[in-house]
Amino acid sequence: MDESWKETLKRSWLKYSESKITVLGLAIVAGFVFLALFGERLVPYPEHIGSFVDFANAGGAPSGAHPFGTDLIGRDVLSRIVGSFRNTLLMGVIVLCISAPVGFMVGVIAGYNKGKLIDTILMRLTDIFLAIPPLVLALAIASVLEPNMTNSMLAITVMWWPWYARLSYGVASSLRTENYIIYAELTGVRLPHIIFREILPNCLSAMLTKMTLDMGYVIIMGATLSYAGLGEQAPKPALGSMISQGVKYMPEQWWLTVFPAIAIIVLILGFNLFGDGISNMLGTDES
Amino acid sequence: MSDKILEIKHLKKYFALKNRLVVKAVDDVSLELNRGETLGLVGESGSGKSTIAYVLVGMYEATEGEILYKGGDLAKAGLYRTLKQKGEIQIVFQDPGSSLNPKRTIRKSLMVPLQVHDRGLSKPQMDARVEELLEAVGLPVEFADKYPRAMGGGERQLISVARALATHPSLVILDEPTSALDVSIQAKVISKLVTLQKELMLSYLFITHDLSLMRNVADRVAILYLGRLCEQAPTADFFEKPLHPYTRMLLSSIPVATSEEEELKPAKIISTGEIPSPVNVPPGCAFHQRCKDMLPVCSAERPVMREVSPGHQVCCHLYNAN
Amino acid sequence: MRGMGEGEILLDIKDFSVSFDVYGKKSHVLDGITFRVRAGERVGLVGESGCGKTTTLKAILRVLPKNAVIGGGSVLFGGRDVFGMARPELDDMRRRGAGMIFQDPSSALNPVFSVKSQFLTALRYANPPGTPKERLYEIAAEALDSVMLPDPHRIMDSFPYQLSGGMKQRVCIAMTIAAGRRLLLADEPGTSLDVTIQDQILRLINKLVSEKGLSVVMVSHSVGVIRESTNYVNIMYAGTVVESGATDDVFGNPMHPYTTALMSCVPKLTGGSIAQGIPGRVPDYMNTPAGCRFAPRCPRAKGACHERKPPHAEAAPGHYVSCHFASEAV
Repeated sequence: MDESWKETLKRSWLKYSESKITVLGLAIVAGFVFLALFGERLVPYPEHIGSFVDFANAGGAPSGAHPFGTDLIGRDVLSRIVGSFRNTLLMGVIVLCISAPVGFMVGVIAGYNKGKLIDTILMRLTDIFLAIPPLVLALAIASVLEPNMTNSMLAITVMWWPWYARLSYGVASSLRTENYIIYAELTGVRLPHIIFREILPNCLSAMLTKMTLDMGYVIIMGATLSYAGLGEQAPKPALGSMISQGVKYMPEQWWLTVFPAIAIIVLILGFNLFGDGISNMLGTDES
Repeated sequence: MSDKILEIKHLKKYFALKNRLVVKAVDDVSLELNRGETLGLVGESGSGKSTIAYVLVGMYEATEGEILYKGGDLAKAGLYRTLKQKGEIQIVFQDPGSSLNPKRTIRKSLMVPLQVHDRGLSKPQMDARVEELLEAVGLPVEFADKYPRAMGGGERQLISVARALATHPSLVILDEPTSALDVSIQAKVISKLVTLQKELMLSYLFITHDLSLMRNVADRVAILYLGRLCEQAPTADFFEKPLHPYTRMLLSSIPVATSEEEELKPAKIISTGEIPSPVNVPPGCAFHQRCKDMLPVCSAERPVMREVSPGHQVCCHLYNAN
Repeated sequence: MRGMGEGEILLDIKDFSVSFDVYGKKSHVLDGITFRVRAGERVGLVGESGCGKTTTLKAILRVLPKNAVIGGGSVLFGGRDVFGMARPELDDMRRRGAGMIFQDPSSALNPVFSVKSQFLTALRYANPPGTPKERLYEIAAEALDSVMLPDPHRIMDSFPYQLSGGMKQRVCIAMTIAAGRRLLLADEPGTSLDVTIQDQILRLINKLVSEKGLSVVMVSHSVGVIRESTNYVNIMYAGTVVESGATDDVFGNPMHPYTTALMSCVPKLTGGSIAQGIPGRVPDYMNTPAGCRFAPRCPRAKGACHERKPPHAEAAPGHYVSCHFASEAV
């Protein structure tokens, strides 16, 4: 068994690394996760992540002591960027871990009952959510509720599950004519068996691929909300709010804006490449 | 040997399409099946042969007619059959690629019927049953922990057979079980099916388009064309004296591998025309447009089934007079 | 070397081998395929799935997948090495020399274009530039007529979904012959159709061959189809040609143990019973047997079979067998 595991792992890696650039994606994602977990202890000025004030060094340009410069009240920008990673990761993981299962259940029930009333109800509901511009919906929710991290996650989750409903709807509605599903029905198994034992394993790779690709978009959405002031509140760092505060001091104090922006770009690029790799790895599973 | 296990009487299955069209997939078909017997149900695409199978296993409800299984009527039961009835009539599907869940091990696939029909079994008892089933179809026990993709088409079909046997059925519907397989693999699967039939006294309804195969495995053969039965006879009789013009066209179209077989074919009837769409079945006899021996009555009146010699029935106006 | 016919040699495949790179490993699929097709000849390749029939056809048109590596030998079309051709010559060979008829006519035609537009596009490339559209239309209509499709003009205006499977296959055949191709590569042309329709298609191909002097390489898994529609046959097993000769000779007097076993598995109209199948499995192409590829499953295999590849030798006049013990079998 051990040997076959190694073999599977090796094959998976070969498939993943078929396109070399996805390896870069993996490196970025791994680095990001590592920094999110341990970054607070590794940064040069851990105390700068919170409410720290040092007017002596305020607005300092990038230097040896502060490679990304300091902000208006003298906090190290590098430390604050790295310090924001944990919440960024948390946001992505929580949003996807809620919206994926919810979307799956809605989609699978609708898809499995394709053509029936329940299908129409669930999928029209999904369509309604998809029809509202995502940012508008998220802004509306986040502004009605108290602006904080939890509510911004809630806002993003509400607009994210329909995509998973669409995905699992497609899989479930095509699988329902597969002979093994028909066999299970004819033998008399119950619905949960069909959904979780027969359909779920077939959805998993597509969902996983979508989740990795979506990570980047959730991060953008989170940054957008925090840019609008609806995310994590001061003094805690968030990439979006760092940019929105720094943008007033462009172009003189460019480092306030440019470095958090680069961080966002790199993260999104990393997750997209990683997602492509995962899709290569899981895509041609059958052969 | 007239131990009837299944009796289909005037079975009809219509599907309503949009724009008010109706597909008469099965149109007044009557069949019988005895215990331990193999009935070959042969037809080309659109003949309704698979629809009959699906009505029998309860996927569709019959539009009209009766299905008497061991005396009880299944026609209206549809999916609401008793667990016992579900277990006793089992099906093996055509496509080995789709009959097993690609993401689940063989063990898990084989456990599906056991979990429903043998609820009392403990985990070790279940494992023992799985191994027993694999052995019954002649596959190594190690297959239990493999995935379908690690297996060839023939092996997957044997696993479908094993899964069908799990509920101790007495009637197994074989829906083109070997048409996607190579002949050498087909031979393995068929010979296993034949052995199992003898051991377990199974009745097979063997649905296929392959007449040569039926010559070798069926006790009786029935021919379907556009949802209607054309001819039905004991196998030897059927191949020696094919009566219906469609049967003869079908037989003479089969590419054969040896010259002895060539001699056995009926005088070459050149195949002409296309199979009409089942939405638009010609009036009268469904075959009359392609028929060489067409009579004026054929396009007007639907022929009825009549017995011309013991067990040999044909549905054709040509055999009305005598 | 091949006894059949004396016509011009159109296709000459010599000791041709192909392997595929699969994640760093080599999959040795074709191993020394040799056969010829003369003008007016119908040559069959018969074998079970995965034996390399389709790979052989793809090699003739040089449309092998990117990871294919030519291991040796040559494919000559009209005397020119297909793998040595420059782009224009290759295009010309594909447009006017050899054409493929696929198993599934539904996927061979694009569902969103009319038959006319697909047909004329194909013909535009096969005819001298500047040929007027009316002329191309005439050629197409003639071709549709020659495949016995009634009312060619109506067919030209149809979309593929309006035609039945048999009609689509006729359209595909018409498209292949309209460009004046001399070699048809038919990959299971009737397999996805009903028996009575398959019979019509096979008769049509035979008729075209005899009337227009075309040549055919017919690929099929069905011994019956090959027996009825070819005059020369190659039996393939696991990427090798194990037996070849005039169709009647090979099927009337099979000499290779694989051919015998295969024939015994085919259900006969004469009845009797069905054989038990061939023991064992097709070898893994990543790890092929050193000697004869059939040796691990062969009831007659002896020491030599596992060590040396048998030569494709003439065992009876015009009847070639790749077996160390071919003479003992008779």
